[in-house]
Amino acid sequence: MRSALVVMLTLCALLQSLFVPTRAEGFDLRAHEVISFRAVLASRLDQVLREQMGFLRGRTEPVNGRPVLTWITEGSRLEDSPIFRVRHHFHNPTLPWDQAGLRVLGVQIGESSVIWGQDRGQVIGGNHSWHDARAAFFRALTASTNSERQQGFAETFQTLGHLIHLIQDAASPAHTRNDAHLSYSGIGDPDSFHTWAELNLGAILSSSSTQFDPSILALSTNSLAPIPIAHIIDTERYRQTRIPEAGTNIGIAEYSNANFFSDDTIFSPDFPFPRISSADLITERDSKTGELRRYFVKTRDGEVGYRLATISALFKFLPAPIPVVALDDFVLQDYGRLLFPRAIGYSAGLLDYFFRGRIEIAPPARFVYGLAQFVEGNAGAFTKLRFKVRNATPNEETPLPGQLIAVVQYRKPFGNLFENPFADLPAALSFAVSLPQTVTLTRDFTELTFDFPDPNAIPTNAADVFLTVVYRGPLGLEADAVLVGGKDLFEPDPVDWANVTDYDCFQGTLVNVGNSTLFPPFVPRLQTQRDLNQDGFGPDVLGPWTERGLFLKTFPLSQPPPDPSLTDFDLQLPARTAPQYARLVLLQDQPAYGLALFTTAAQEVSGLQFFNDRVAVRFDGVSNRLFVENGELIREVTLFDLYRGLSFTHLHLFLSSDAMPACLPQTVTAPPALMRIPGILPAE
Amino acid sequence: MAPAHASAAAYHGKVVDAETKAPLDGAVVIVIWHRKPIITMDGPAYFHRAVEVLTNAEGRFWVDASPGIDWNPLTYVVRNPWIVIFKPGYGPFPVAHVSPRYVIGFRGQRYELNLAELNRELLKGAVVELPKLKTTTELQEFAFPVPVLISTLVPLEKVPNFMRLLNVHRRAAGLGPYPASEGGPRR
Repeated sequence: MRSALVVMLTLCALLQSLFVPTRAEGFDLRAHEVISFRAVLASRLDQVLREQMGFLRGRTEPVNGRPVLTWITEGSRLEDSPIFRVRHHFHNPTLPWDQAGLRVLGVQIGESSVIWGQDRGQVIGGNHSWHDARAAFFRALTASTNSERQQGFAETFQTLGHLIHLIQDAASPAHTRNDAHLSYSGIGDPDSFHTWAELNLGAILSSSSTQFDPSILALSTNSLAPIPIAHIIDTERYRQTRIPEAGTNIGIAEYSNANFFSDDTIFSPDFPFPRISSADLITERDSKTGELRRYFVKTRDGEVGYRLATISALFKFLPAPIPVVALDDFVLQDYGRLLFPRAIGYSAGLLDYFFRGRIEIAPPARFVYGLAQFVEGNAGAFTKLRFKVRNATPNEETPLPGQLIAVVQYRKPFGNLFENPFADLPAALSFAVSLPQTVTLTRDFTELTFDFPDPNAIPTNAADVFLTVVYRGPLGLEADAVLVGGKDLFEPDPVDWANVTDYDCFQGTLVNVGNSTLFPPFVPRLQTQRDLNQDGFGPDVLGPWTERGLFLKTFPLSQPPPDPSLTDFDLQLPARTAPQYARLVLLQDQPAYGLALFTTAAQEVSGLQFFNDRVAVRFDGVSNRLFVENGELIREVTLFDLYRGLSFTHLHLFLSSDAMPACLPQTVTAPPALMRIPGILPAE
Repeated sequence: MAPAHASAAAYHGKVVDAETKAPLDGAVVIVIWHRKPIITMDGPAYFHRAVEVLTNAEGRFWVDASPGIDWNPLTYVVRNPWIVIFKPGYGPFPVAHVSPRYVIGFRGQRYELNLAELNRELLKGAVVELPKLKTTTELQEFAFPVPVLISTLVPLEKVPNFMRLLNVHRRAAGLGPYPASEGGPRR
């Protein structure tokens, strides 16, 4: 009878009329959206987006103008469009996967949804397989322009919505018991569970979430659909055992097929379960009308404790094959109570599986991620970054050979941040993408250097810097996975190191010892200009000093200061005198760090000398970033100051003598301005 | 209150605070119609029409129940529209309202009305009671279109009053404005 109905409806498609009665009572697409919305909330997506991918607003981050979760919910709605895609949304877990798709009159007209979700050739309605999601994700993560990145992420999240639609359909018994529910203008054979769900969306919104047992993702794969997500729908156990189960270590299609009915498959001989012996017949009074109703209540064979079907009052009088059992609202309410949590939780599980890959990033042995020469106008760039990476994916121990790419996202300011840290920032991000390299990721840290050649170098004039590392290659049972790791770096940090020994201080008075005419080198009884109190003892002021062999080395505060040397430095200066300074720009990830300074030799103009001077200081990391707090965008900026014409955030000064600090404030605008000298960076 | 030229059927009623029973003015009442292909199984849906009205000082609203003509011979307008009533700071109708929510069945048991039944209540004229949301968590629960049952099928520029009030609600929930541009791959 059902087959005849399908044939009739198909013929009706050829006899279309302009005046079609609108008699449909059904709502259908919002159920998918609401389930998907709940699934996004139940998943770890928000945390992953914030911590590993630098999305300021997590799942509500605008991507191509719309929030991430809107792309996913919309994708879950669009999987039913156009209608020809719907024939691939069926999976009968009692059959082998290549035979499990929708059958009409014995002919298979659709691919199993398990296979469809991994079919690279979907074409009609667009390509939205797992492989397409992976490819779009990789494209987005490694894009060098913001528009490419936005487009890639939009496709990724919308395709994920398409994929979780298939899981949600597999929670509907009609889709797992080969029950095609064609209708013409809403009349015909619409599925009552679909209809009930759309009319009772509040039940979905208030539903809990039941995740699957992660062990199902480690089962041996089926070559028809080798990505382990296939087991979220069908673990193939029910087909082999024919024993209905209710645990979370089975696929959702196995659960809905073995424990529930669809309108046209109640006690159908086509399916082994549920059977009459799976349920007890009880009598209840309809709470709405007061009428007595009889229900089959499931008491054995898998899931138990719910109304399975209701029975007509004419049960004993109507001859077969007139249907005498049906699914009324109370039955469907019980179905929803059990199926919605799995639809939500299993969908969340697919999202978590997609984003399961984790790379951990740590500073390199030398501490700083990047070193760059300062270029006038802050026009320099980092062309190499060095840091450690390791595979931190839970439960994935196997070393992974694949391609690794580092991406730095930042904002290009409208102005020089070293002169004006409050220069405006654009809304759009910029990206620097490294050259790829082939690496085997293990559980242990590996130190790597990533090249960022022009035009992909990371400018020293950058704000809101976030480092991402992207891996593409095998991960567990997935042959072409994408892993991502993220680190929120502090912004490019100008470290300034100056010799200001052209001034000294005597009894609170600033003395310009750099003026060799007024203050020539002290010679007793011959050149006594430096005996300022004329007591016969001098010199009362020192400087300038000339230094040789200077080395600077950064270090984490968790460790003791290192000994900077020719073989261990971040910046080297062969020589320096007053009023000269050197500037190094670095990238690091700590709120504060140490600076160790070593001077091989220094000589004062009057002949005083010292050797092998060591000092260690603490500097704070530089911030110039945006973050979201209570829905508002906040900017955090490290302030700069001015000293003798130099705009600085931290500046180490070599002073003439111990008396100089008392006069230091008097030198803030003292001439001449500091002069920059180039330093030597270590070879990389 | 109803325009003289309107059809007889209309969704109408009054919106009040569930606790104080005070009328809620400035709540947006949205009625959305969509279309489906005449032959369908699940299948796609298409936006047809949205009508927004704001409740007046007495909390009253009136919306013509006619969906307008569908000129596409290959689709039909689904008869029951989606009806949403939203006021910033309040639980929305039809997912969080207090009344009309239930009918009393046999022996006083409560039987929850489904969306089609709620629409029929509004055709008869109903007092819709909305609960004030008390915590940030409650506010954030309804700070997006989908849990308020505004489908992604609905172009957001067709519901400007809802979007304006949603952003007022989101501010109270400690969230930024809802991004609502139309970019990206859609069909």
